[in-house]
Parts: sequence; structure tokens; C-alpha cells
Amino acid sequence: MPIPMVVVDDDDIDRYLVNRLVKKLNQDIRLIEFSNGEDFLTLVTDECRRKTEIGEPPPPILVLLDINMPGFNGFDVLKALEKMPELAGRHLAIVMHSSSNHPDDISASRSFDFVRDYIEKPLSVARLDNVLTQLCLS
Amino acid sequence: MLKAPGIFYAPIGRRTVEAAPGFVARMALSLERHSSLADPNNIVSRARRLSFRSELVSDKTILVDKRPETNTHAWVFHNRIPEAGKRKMSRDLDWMDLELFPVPTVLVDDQGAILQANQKLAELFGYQTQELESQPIEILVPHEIRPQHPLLREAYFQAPVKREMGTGRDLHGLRKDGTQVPVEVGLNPILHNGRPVVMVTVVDIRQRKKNEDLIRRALDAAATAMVQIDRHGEIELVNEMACRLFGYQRHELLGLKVEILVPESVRLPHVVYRNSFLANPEKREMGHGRDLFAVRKDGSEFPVEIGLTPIPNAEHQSVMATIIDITERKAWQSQIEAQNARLAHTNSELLQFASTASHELKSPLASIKGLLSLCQSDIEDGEPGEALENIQRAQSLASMLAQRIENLLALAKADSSIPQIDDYHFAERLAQTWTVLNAPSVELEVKLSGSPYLRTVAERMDSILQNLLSNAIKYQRFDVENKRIVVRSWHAGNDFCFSVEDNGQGIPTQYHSSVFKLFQRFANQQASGSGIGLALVKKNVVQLGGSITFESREGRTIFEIRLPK
Repeated sequence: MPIPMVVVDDDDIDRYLVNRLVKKLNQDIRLIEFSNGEDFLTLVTDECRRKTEIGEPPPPILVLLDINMPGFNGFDVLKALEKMPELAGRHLAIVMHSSSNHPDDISASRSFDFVRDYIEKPLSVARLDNVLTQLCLS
Repeated sequence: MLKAPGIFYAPIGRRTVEAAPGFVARMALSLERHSSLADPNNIVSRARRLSFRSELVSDKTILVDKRPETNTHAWVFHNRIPEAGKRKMSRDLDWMDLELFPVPTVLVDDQGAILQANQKLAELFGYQTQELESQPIEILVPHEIRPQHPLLREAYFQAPVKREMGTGRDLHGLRKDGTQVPVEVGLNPILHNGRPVVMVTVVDIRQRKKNEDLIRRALDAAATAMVQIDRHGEIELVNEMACRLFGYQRHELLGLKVEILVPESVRLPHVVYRNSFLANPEKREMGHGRDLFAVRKDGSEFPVEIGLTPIPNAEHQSVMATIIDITERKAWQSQIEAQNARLAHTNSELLQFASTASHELKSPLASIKGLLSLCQSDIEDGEPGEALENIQRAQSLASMLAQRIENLLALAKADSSIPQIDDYHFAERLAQTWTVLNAPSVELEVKLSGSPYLRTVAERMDSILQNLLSNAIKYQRFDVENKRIVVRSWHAGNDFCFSVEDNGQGIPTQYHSSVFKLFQRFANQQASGSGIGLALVKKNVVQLGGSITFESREGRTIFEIRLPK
């Protein structure tokens, strides 16, 4: 049974990079990609669709969430999730994934208590492995 | 020291015998301006009250001397009382030694002839005493007054009273050498050997005038306007600057209530403020930090700062107000405030810009870094399959990044002023721009009306056209067969207007409010747009003094620009 993992990023190249790194990790991980926050939210809030399309692993599901996306950005996703503490805190493990290392972005992310970590792009195999270990997902 | 029969001059302490009571009376009068005194007893008591020591030696002789501590002279007068009424007698002097008078004095008869002048008067006018005798008094009168002087003199003899001459006017005496000397003149009618004569005392006020002028000049030289009011609020002194500031002549202001300088709406309260200030005068600023306004003669108001200084006089309290016109300072202030607001705005824009710009530049760089380290690990792992493709991806990202930096620089440049205004051939430049953009799949339709020329900054116009057209090309719908862009231009009043319309994707309604914001991208294609183009267009339009509006839905987006010609 592969471990599901989600990446939400508008940038095709960044999603491709995550995809390749996941493969290099040599673990049975299935990456589910979203190119915008709205699609991701629609799916995860629909429990039925979530179970069929992402799967029903022992929680939580790792989500790499980009911040800077046109229109509905990463913080908008966090604000929407904040209203669903059960989903955000238990079923999902949100890790921010951004090219920004601006203190404002980091502290704004950390202000949501269900955000588990903050990764500055680009992601590396070691960093991905580290995150998975921390979350006891590997 | 006998100067003339009957009048003695003596130092204090010397006992002399004769005195002329009429003269003592006049001395008393000139000091206190009271009714004449004829009775020797009255003279004695009057002299005592005036701090003269006096003594009635006999019914004909009075001794009067000045108080010893003032160390001046004593006058001793012989009282020759004729048989007639005392009042009349007191005015009839058959002789008099004017040399005893401490001020320049001349006796003039009812025909205007000089009977006698003392040495001091002669000196003042530059004559010898003998030269003056029998001369008409008019030789001492300035030429411009001379013609009417005999008339005035005769009128005086019709109703002779003791008074100052020319009250309120500046009087001048004419000296022998033709120069004039400012004087104060006292007139005193007396009988002399049975004839009505006038005793004229002349006081040289050159020094006083000089002092007055000095003060006046100092006041007039002051850079601040000064208005002094008396305790009734009437203007008693103004300097040149005050006249200029308020637009009045000096004489127009003197004697007016100071409220004439106060805006109508606060005149009434001002009276109250003024009275309470006078009740408790202290040097301070008027208005306690409130904004004060003053009003000119023409009714216009201006902002002022007013300092109040109490000036205690012998008889009453005056207040000196110094007034500074702060119109310019206020203008400066608001200019500085506006400047500050602009700077604060620019500063917050810059902060916003720096944070977004750093992200927009870092983001592709992070992707490039990610791609390159992936290539490295692929090659190390002996799986170079995708490495070549990823290097290409990194390269196109790098090009995109370079373009983005280029755009940012253009944006920064758009903020600085480009003063060069040229004739701009709209149709030609449009065609050139179109050629450079090289979009064979899109059809351009141009509909120009009126002159194709406008006067503008070519660099900005080029940038506007280039960005609007490239957006219109970039955001076409892939599934649409006839991709079209229509450019129209027309003249409206003093404006040159043009529009760029496309039949592309359109801008989603929820982003309409942030269309011109920096780094706003609406399409989900990271590599294609920098989010700078429309911000740059807007900036250039604003710098040209124009305006830009747009309408957009799927299938039709139109930007319309109005520029001053």
C-alpha cells in the first residue's frame, strides 16, 4: 500500500521536481498533484472523494503547500483549513513549500498551529526524507 | 544781578527785593495751566504748591525761589499793582526782561511786529537780537505758511487765549540761513504798556524729533508688523510693515479699533479677549496655539502669528502686537506634509515592491537550482535520461528571469521623469511594435481616426503599446480559430485616445480590482507572465498625465487610454 503525498503548486517545474525527488527517495510514495489551492481544497473537504482519490492511510497525509500562487494563494488555503481543525490537524500534515525565506512569510505560516514545517525551495531528497521521518510517515 | 528795572535775578539764598507777580503767575500757569493769579497772596500759596519757596515781602514785593535741592534759580518779582482791577492789572506788564526766560521767547504786538526777543530765540533762529526787533514775526515763519500767517495771527488777537500753536501739526521755524527747525510754540496773551501783545515761547524740538525719528525708523525697519493699541483697543501706533501687511495708509489706521484687522467672524470675541488680556497683561503669544487669521483692507484673510507685549505708560496700559504673516510658512508646511505623504506612499510601495520582487526573482531561481541539482544527481546515478531536458528547462527559466529583471528595471525607470516630448506617429510606431512582437497567428486590425500624431514621451508610449499588445497576444484562447486584436484611435477634445481590444481569455471578474497591481498574475502559467506588464502600463499612462480603463470578460478584453495631446 503506497503512502499518499500531496503537492499544491502552480509551477509545473516545481511539481516536476518534487515528483522526481520523491522517486529518488526509493519509497513507496504516491504523489498527488494540484496546480492550485482551490482544487486541492475542493477535494480534501469532500471526504468521499478524498478517500477514493488520495486514499485512506493511517493519518496524516503529507501536503507540500506553495505560498505564492496566483489568485488563491497558500495562506488562503490555510485560512480555509483553519475552519476545519479535524481535517487540518489530524488527517493532513501541512508543510509549507516556498521560495520565500522572508521572516513575515515564515511567521505567518507558523501562526497556524496545524502547519508542521516550512521548507524553502528547492526541496532536496535529504530534506524530504527528514520531513517524512519527523512525521513518522516513512 | 540786575537785568532790568523791577526784575531781579538771583542765585538761591540771596535775598532780593522786587518781583513781578504777573510773571510768577505765568510761571505757575505754564507749569500747571491754571487760571491767572493776580493776588500776591495767591501767588505765594500757588508757588508753595509748586514747590517754590516764596515770601511776600510787602504788598508789592514777592520773593520766589526754586527749591534748593533742584539747584536752580530764584526769581524775585516786583509787584506793581495799578489802581484798576487786579485781574486786568496782572496781565499788564510795562516791562519785561526776556533774558530771564529759560526758553527762546519773543514778544509780538498785535500788528505782528517783534517787540523784543531774547538771546536764546535769536540764537535758535540764527540772528542777532537787534536784527529781529521791529521785524514782522513772519520772518521766522516758513515760506509755505507765511501767506496765511497774518490772518491766523489776527484771528488769534480777536480771541486771545493761552495755548499751544498748531496743536497736532508739525511746526517749523525758519532760520536766517533758510533752514527749518522743528519747534513747539506756546502763545500767551498779555498786556504790554497797555497794548495787547503775545508772548511767544519757542521750544527747539530737534533732539526730540531726532529721537522720535530714530524710534520710528527702527520700528519701520522691523521685519515684523507692529500695531500698538491703547486700553480702549484703539490703534495708537503702527509701523511701515503693518501698513504694508494690512494694505492701509498709516493715518487710516491710527485711532481705529484694532478689530478692523480681525476677521469679521471673530471681531466680537476679540473684544472680549482684548479686555481680558488688558485686565491681566503678560507677554505671550495670542491664540494659545489656535490658527489665527488677520484681514486686509481689501477683505482678504491670511494666517498670522501674533505676539503680545504689554507696554505700561504713565497714564494707561498699551499693548504692542507683533504680527507675522505665516502664509508662506503654512504653504511650506502643507507642501512638506504633502511631500511626506508622497514619500511615505513611495516608501510603502517600495517595501511592497522589494518583498514581491524578491519573491518573483527568487522563485524561478529556486526552480533553476532544483533542476540543476536534479541533473547532477541523475548524472551521478548514471541516469542522464532527463538531464538534458532539465538543463534546457533551467535555461529557459534563466531567460525568463533575465526578462523579468529587464521589466523590473523598466518599471523603476518609469518612475523617473523623462522630460523629452516629441511628435509621435501613432500608426507608424504601432506597426513597428507589432512587427517586433512577431505573432503570425494573431490578426491585427487598426482603425485610426483623425491625425495619427500626438505630442508625447516616445519611450513611454512605446512601452505602453508593447505591453498591451503582448498581453493581448499572450492571453489568446488556444481553441479559438481567428485570434484578433483591434487597435482604435480617436481625438476627444484635448485628449488623444486609443484602445486595444482582443478576443482572448479575459480577466476573471474577481481580479478586476487588482489588474494594475504589481506581480498580479491571473493566468495559471507561471513562465508566461511576470505580473509587471500592466503595472508598467499604468505607471507610464499616469506619468504622461493620462488615464486608463478596461472592460473584460471571456472573449473580449478592451483597454482604453486617454492622453493629453
